[in-house]
Amino acid sequence: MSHQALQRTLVRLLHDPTLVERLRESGPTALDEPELTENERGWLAATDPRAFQTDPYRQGRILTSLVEELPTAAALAARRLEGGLTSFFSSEHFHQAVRQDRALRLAFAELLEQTGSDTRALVAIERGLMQARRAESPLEGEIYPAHGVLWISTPAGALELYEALWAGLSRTGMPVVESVLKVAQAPLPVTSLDNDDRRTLLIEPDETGGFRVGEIPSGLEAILRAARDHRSLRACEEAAVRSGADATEAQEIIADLTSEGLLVCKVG
Amino acid sequence: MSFLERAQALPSLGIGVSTEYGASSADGALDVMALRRAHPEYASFLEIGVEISKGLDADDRAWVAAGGSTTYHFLDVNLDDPSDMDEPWLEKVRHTVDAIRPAWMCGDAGMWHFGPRDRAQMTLLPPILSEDSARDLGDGVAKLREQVGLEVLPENPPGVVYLGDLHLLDFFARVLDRADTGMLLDCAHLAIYQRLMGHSPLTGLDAFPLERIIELHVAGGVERERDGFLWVEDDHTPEVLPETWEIYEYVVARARNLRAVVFECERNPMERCLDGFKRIHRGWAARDPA
Repeated sequence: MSHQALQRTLVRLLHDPTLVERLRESGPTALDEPELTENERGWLAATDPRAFQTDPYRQGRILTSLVEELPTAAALAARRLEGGLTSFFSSEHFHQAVRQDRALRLAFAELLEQTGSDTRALVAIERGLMQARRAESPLEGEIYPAHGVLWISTPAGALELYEALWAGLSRTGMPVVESVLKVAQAPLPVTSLDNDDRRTLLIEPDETGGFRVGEIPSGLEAILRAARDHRSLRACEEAAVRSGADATEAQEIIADLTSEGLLVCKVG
Repeated sequence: MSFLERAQALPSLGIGVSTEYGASSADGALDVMALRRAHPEYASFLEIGVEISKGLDADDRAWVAAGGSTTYHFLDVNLDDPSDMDEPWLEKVRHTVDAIRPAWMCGDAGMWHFGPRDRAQMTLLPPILSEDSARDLGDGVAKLREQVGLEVLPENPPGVVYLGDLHLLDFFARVLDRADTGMLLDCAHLAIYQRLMGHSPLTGLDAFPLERIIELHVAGGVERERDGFLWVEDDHTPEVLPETWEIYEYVVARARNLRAVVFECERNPMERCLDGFKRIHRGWAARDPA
């Protein structure tokens, strides 16, 4: 599988001009790729370094996709990252993701969340949205959360920050990436979030093919969790009762969640 | 049954055009139905580029509904990685095959994505031109053929960086032998490679198993320069490089099992493409098929 390690190294070189420069200056040791054979290192060293940099739009194309996944976190983090958002391509996050065949959007999220507790909270929301968009085929059982329904835990204030940033991005009237770059031109305030005061946010499909995010009480989370983990109506009713409902109320709540499209119930 | 025996059952499709999702809706793009009406000999089939996550577009479906012949050009599988042909992807491929009923599958035998098949990670890089890479690629071609039940013709991809110790044609000769399959030779991609490596356009073709070439691609390219580095971009305009024509005319006269030629000009208006089609047709009509 050495040729696959070499392909991954080529991907790193094509995206990171600083690595090309290090290869030019220090030779193949700069690549930190123990899997490569001597021949493979030689092939890389013999390549004209300019050949790695013929596509000036390569970083931009990828960054567009990544920023569309994490718009609010990217807007907030852009000025905090030395070198801005494109510094992702010279970061260890990028290089490790390529080496390990991981999703770049998750590596990008990890870079952004290092810039503050506020970006960490925004990344949590936008990571949840990524997960909802990629939800696997529907679950099975007598009751389960509907396709694309999930919930996350964030510090209090995270939803308000997320909504405020979204509103700012929307006000530009530009496509997502352009709006992020515009909003990020001005320094955005650092918001201190209390990590000990946690809230549960629900992500659910909306009517436009997208997703909405809103806060839900802990009792509702308990019912959704029971539906996801146990797929049984009885487990959901027990969760509702533990949260303070009586037996009749528990049935009504579950019926409401089903009619609202949050749960799929296959029994009577 | 060997590939050369199986190849006798492959249909002769003639000259066709290629497309991929949304290509025909761009301003000034080739209207394949109009081409078919005006010059049916240039639009005998449609090569449909398929990225499973995007599916088929309305023009693809219209072509199929009108009874047009097709080939399936994949745009999203790393053939040298067995884990990339996972069952969910294969299931969708089979579904697409059922929808378009292609004569065969084909596609660039390179890296279509690094890491997961995510939008940010779609790319196209040529394979590493080495013995172990040829072995894995050949095994992947054979696996996909078994899984889908169609011949799978690897194509030489374009590139600016080629790594490895084999000439591209020697590499693909090994792949074809390992997989016992045929090939889609992209004349423009080969011209790009030969120029980049300082070879003449026909270097290596004398020793290549031309009888395994089932399909040819012809496309335009444009010379680019950055910081003094020169390369050719495979831009699919109708301006075909002289080396590409040289390769095409050499191979079309000698590939006795050739079944199809595609002029990749999908984003250009028909009038600009007619000279290219005429020249392709001259070569096609003059050949002496098996």
